[in-house]
Amino acid sequence: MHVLAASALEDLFRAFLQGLPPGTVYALFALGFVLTYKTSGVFNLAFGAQAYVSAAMFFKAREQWGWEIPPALVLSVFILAPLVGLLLEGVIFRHLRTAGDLPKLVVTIGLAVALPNLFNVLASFEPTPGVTPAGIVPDGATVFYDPFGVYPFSRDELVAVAVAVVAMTALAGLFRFTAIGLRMRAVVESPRMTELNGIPADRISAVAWMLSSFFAGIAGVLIAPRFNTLAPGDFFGLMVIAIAAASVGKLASLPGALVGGLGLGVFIAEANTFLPRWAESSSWLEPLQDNLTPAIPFMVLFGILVLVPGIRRAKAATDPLAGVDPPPPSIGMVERSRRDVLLSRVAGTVFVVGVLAIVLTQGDQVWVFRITEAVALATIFLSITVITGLGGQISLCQGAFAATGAFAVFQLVDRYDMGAIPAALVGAVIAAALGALLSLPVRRLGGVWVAIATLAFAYFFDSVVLQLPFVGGGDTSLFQGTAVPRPVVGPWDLGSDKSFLVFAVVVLAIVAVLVVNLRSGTLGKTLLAIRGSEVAAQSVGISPGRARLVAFAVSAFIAAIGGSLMAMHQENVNYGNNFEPFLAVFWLVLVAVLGVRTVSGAIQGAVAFTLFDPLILKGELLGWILRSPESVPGVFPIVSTWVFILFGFGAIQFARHPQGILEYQLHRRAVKAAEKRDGPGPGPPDGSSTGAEVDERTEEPVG
Amino acid sequence: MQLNHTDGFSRRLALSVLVAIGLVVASCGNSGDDTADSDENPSTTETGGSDATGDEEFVSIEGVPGVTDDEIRYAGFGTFAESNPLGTCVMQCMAEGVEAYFAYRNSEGGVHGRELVLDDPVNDELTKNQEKALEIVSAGEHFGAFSATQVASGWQDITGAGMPLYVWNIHPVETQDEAVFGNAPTICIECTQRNAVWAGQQIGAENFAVFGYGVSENSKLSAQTSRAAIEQHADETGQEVVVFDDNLDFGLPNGIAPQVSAMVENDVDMVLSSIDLNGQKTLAQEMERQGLGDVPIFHPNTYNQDFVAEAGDLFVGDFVTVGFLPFEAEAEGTGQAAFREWMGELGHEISEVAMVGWIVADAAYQGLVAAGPDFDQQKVIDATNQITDFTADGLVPPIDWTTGHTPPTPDDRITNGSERTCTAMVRVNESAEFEIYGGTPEKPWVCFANDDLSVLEPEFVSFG
Repeated sequence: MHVLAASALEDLFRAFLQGLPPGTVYALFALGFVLTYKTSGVFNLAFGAQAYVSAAMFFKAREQWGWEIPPALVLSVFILAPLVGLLLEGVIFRHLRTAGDLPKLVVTIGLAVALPNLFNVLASFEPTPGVTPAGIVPDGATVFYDPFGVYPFSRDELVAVAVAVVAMTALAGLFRFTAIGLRMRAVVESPRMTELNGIPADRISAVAWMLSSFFAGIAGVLIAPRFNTLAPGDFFGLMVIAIAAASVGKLASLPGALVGGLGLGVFIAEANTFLPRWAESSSWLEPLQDNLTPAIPFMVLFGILVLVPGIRRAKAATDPLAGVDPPPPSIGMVERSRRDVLLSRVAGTVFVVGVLAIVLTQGDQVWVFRITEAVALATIFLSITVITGLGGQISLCQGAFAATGAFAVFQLVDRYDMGAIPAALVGAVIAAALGALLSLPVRRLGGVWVAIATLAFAYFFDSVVLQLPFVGGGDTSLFQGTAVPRPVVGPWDLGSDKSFLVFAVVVLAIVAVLVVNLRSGTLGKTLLAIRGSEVAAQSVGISPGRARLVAFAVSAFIAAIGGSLMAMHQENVNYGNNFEPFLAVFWLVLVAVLGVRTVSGAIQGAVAFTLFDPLILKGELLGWILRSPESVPGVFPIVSTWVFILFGFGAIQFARHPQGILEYQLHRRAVKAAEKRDGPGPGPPDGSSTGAEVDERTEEPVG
Repeated sequence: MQLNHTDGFSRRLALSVLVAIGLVVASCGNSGDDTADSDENPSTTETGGSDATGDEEFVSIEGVPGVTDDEIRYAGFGTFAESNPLGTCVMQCMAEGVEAYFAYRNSEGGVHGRELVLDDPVNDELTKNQEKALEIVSAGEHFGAFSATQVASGWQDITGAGMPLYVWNIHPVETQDEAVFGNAPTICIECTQRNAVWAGQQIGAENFAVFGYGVSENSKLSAQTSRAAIEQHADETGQEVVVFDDNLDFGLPNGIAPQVSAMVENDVDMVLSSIDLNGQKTLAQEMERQGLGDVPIFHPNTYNQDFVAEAGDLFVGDFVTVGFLPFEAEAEGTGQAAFREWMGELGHEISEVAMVGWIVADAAYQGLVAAGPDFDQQKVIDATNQITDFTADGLVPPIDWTTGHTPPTPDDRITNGSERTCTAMVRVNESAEFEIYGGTPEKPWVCFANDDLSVLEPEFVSFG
């Protein structure tokens, strides 16, 4: 008995030690996340991207240029990383200092997409198979030390642990005992008040960004040896886990982040040590063993968000002097005449019908494919219009809802021989229920936290839910694939690509009308009222929770309809191609850049996603204009990566023009027309807005 | 649309590819011919060549896409290294093999009086396979196509347009299409294999650890069939699976330390892992750390000399299965000699996927020859599907294309498979180089009879 107990204790201790290296990785990222949040007030989802850039630079210098460790480290961590931070602050975040949390979050999502791609393009960097990134000490991966005689640590791991502890101590000291630390926090709290005290807020903010970016750089270089191939996606996925660790300290506590990161690593190691043994004797534990490990970070994050009241109250710092600014010009005051609205709608409809007619009569298979894909995607994007444009909530799990629709069609057709359209409707209802269920715990969270919770759900869906045979298909998908049939509607067989395109356009039109009606109906007004003032809305009997629940459900319903359309179009679910979490994050960027509150914004986002690459980057449009593909300059074709770089950086515009570039242009035209008619108004001539009023805007969109 | 940010995305893609490679190699490395044995060379497919290039009457063909009086043009589309999350060379390497093969055949006069031409391959950017396939179909300028891709979403569009398609067979569902010809026939995913059991027996291994990824049905099932194979022969071999985990996180972000500790506690002396290259390396590193560096791993997909060499002595002593005649085998008398010569002639680097390109290019050529001078796409597809013993001149175990698109079943591996299941096997030596294991350079194929699945005694054969 004593032997058994001793053995269990030894296993417990060994698992504890084994959890420290991965835990350190999480801790480093979590520390960096907290550091950025404390020093800039930005919930920086681009932290992983910043870390990747330094890790890739270090790798390139070491492996491809053959540099020694010190110069490679200096270049990647001491020069490049702070420079990235300086640029981000100077070019982007300095101008967003008084913007709300949500616009900043969208900007960081855009940066998370754009930064690694930009680095890869500029540095001609590609993953190198088989070459494990080296650490910052010689023989870091091959020399081991076993301080307890239980489990040896590599030099790289010990360095990472040491850096994490030293960094936590130093940063905590910086904030607690130094003037610069205090000033950093002060600038986050109120840049105006700080400046009134003679402190140069811009300079302090720049230092803060350089510091956090430097930390991202060192974290990236330290954790890189854990990956046998460097890939930006690994860093983003890691960041999601790190947010779970950081949330242990409510995003404010550096020791909390350190403990959270190490705790996650240790908890996973303990689970992997003991669960298999217990499952041998208790078979009911097997499903838990199967699914627990990948789910742990997301469960922790979700659990903290939902169950820890403090984190819900952790609102972003607001500047007490924000009121000294003159109120931004409300472009919502500019109304377009009914005639203009009608004209633009007729013109839009004629354009769409015209394009459709040309594609149906003249288009080859490729064009029919691309346009159908754009239509299906536009349907999915309309779900973002509902939840973000109307509901004011950033949901990063629309891909999971869309996938739910797609897999429902696959499963119901495969198992029950159901028609594809009824199956799609059932799938949409399931997704709506899922959306409603998800909204229950997150509806009281602030905007940023909803985004994080939905991101956690997206990854949970990806790593756990999808593995369930009644969702992803299990063996069936392995042996038969995830084929989805085209539907038959009464006498019409939609098997041909062109007839399916017509069907898809009809579905999109129905959903678009639904969204327009939602916007102008009770739900739309309710959501607008809540966005304007939640307290005021409650005082007149509006239930924000119920309204958000409905918004989530409707949004999930629409996403699932779009997902099933996509699957029917491609005749396969193709989850990895169509719905994986990071791709869905990019959807939000696209829609946010172009117009998150309008139907036309969603449609044009989908068109951009589908056609920007072939038409612009591959030079097809230029070739058509020049009447000869051979005349297209040699710079074409341009790599598709630029789609992500351009639209990723385009997200910066969201903070300045939260209505989206397209709607902003429409408003600008309307402002000019109004000025022509009524004389100049009080606002700036371009009708631009600052990000500060993002959450307070209540005007009606025009599209 | 390509998203270089990977994660769930790359996980699933990388995994489906790499594990599928393993499955192809491990489970069907491949089926032996009914009559072939070590002394026979059943290369009937070679005989058509001279007829097709020299003495036959030239037939002018109208209305067949990609065919002129001078050439037969093929398209290539698939995943390029820069779009591959793992960075490995896929489509470009396959194209190099195809180009080398075409150059070789063209140097002998081509086929039916025409040269074989492969257009510059197109990058499907990981997620645009279907769009690229439709571009090829819409252009209508190609007779057939070659594809090595991570996601085969466009293959059905190529074959739907009546074109023959020659592929790197890592997609077991898609190769069931009658017009898709891979470097191996459609595989039986759930069939147990005896090669690992036998290899373990040779080195006296009794306690096995078996690993697979939970996120992939491919990997999971492969791990389960590995365990089943050990258990199936346990009475004879005394082997036992003492550590089993088919729910590893892809990429092993949390490491694999607890599982290796369990291996230490259970005296594991051999590992069967159905995971990707990077995962194999992480596993080997952790085993090294915990003092199990000498315990061999049985790899389904690590036949990559550069990768193994880069890892130093991590993989020394490990077993690796190979789906084609290994480069360490005797090349003389097989297609490998010509492969080496023409790859060198064109300045291409020899690689696993280039060999795949060469093999499927031979399938394209043999199909044309078999279809005769008055050929079209359907005739070539039909003629290829009549070939019963395709070996690419001794590079792969004979493929019977009359049944090659239907997977065998665990209980009947002969009807849609063959009398024998054959796999080439190499082992990493002290210099971190591969050397033939089990067989000899002259007879490198390790074949097990399929009429009695309990038999663990292999036959070593050559198909050259």
